[in-house]
Amino acid sequence: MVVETVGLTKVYPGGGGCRDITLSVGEGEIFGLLGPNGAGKSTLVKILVGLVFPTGGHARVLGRPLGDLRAREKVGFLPENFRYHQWLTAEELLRFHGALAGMAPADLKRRIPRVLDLVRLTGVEKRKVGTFSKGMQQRLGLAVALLAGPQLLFLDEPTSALDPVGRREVRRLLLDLKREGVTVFLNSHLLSEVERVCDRVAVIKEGRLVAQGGLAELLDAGPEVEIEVDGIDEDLLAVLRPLVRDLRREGTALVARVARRQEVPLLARRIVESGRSLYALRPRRASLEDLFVELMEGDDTGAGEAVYYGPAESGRDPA
Amino acid sequence: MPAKLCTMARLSLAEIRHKKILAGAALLTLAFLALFGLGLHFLRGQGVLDRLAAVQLFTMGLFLAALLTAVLAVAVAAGAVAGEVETGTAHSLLARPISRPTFLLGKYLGYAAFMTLYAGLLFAGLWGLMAWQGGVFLRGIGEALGLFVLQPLILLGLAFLAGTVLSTLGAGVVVFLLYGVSLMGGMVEQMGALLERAGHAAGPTLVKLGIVASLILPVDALYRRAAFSLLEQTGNLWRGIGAMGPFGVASIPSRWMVLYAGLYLVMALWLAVRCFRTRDV
Repeated sequence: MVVETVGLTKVYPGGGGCRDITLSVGEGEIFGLLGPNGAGKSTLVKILVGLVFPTGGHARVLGRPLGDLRAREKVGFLPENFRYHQWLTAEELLRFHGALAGMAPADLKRRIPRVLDLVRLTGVEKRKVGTFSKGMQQRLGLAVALLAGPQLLFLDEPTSALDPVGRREVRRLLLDLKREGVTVFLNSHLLSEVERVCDRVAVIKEGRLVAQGGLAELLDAGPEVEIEVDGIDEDLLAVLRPLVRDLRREGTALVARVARRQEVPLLARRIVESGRSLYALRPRRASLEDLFVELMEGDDTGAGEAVYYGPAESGRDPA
Repeated sequence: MPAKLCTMARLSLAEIRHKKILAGAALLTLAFLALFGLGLHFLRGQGVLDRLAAVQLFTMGLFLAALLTAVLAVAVAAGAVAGEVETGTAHSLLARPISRPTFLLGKYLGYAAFMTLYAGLLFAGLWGLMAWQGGVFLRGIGEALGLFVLQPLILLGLAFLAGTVLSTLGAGVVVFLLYGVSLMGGMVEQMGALLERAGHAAGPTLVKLGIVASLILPVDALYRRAAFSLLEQTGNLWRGIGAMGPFGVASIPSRWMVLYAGLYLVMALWLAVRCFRTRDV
């Protein structure tokens, strides 16, 4: 695993932070961390890049403990608050970061034009950072993060200052990086962005992880299934109600909201056992927004176990 | 010197170069030196009164030069650490493969190099004007220069330490207040020494109070020792006249106080590193 956290906790003196975060990010995947503002996403990222010290739990980044300088040589980071020294030119800023990353002058000479081209900033190398628009500064931040050719990239809200075209370019860039084997830890509240590029996601609410898994599994798991069955009556509804969270009729079909994917076969079995003919049982693909809203509106305040979807690569049994 | 320490020091120097305060400080420093030179120019006579006034002007000039250096050191360094954290520029830097001590000490070295240059030039300006316009070649400049430069370096260390736990404004205010304590302590000590010579009972107590203030921040003691070093080696007349007045050296800080000042700087930097090593940014 490229990133592994076990019970990672940061409690600030005034409250806030994140609690008991256990997650893992595999090599070469794009991992999305979702959550509303103030949920603790940036705190988690800051812990992982060594800016904030945890108050509990432990974690490994690129197989090494938190804060390890050798691991940081292979890590790129775009902070949420992307502020750089305004009096430096773009090129000076990149040279300075390259020197801190331990890059040789020859490598820098080769990499600087390359990363500026990747973020569409070619031609402004000699301009002072202070003269850049916010969007340009965010692009420059991306160039800084990519400069040393990282194996692991932490991006905290990387498109918050970009226009739609810029956002699309960043998405394309992330997918290109993934093809090159770079692991990306994407912290974002833009659900469509996450949905389009991420392989796996984790959802954080009030500092606690409430869901984690492969994006496909999370979305395919329901929470709704459409049931085509003959003889829909009160007896059938009485059989099904204990198994589902919600049950309603839509035309000639029934739509059931299940708690988790594992309950779908049980639903089918009970229908068949009731003597009805089951013609179809189709999971309805929810959008990430549906899932997110459901998790945020749920009465789970984060005190319980997170829901894990997909293969048990997280090291946890499915709930 | 490790490469990353040098990189951070270079960044600090570049940072100072771009500070707007620098141009203003340079102009005001030139104005200060010009006034000092003019004052000496009109006191060039050989009369006792001329000599007396020239020595007083020199000690006052050295004192004000130390004050200017201290003000500049705190003004530029209060935000050196706290400012980087407050604005968020530290986020991308500290995520690089650079340790917190390297970050902090590298920055300190850059600021220290600048302040050494500034204090050195200012000291050289005073000395040069004394020779050119005052017609007096002050001796003992090696030790005095070292002590004069050590003052801003200590204030820088203290500003760095304060910046690891306080905001930019908070760090600046705390260090200025401590500097005020040091100055007041120094003046109380001088007054105590003069009273002690006159047989006044309060003299020894005032001297002790001054020493306690020097232990809190030994910057004023360094100024007194630097002034003493110059006046003592230049001649008895200079030493005698130089002992008078609030900027004079009636009570001479011991060499132990100089050693304490050196240890004070090391301690401040050590504590700054220790605080910054575990600080959330």
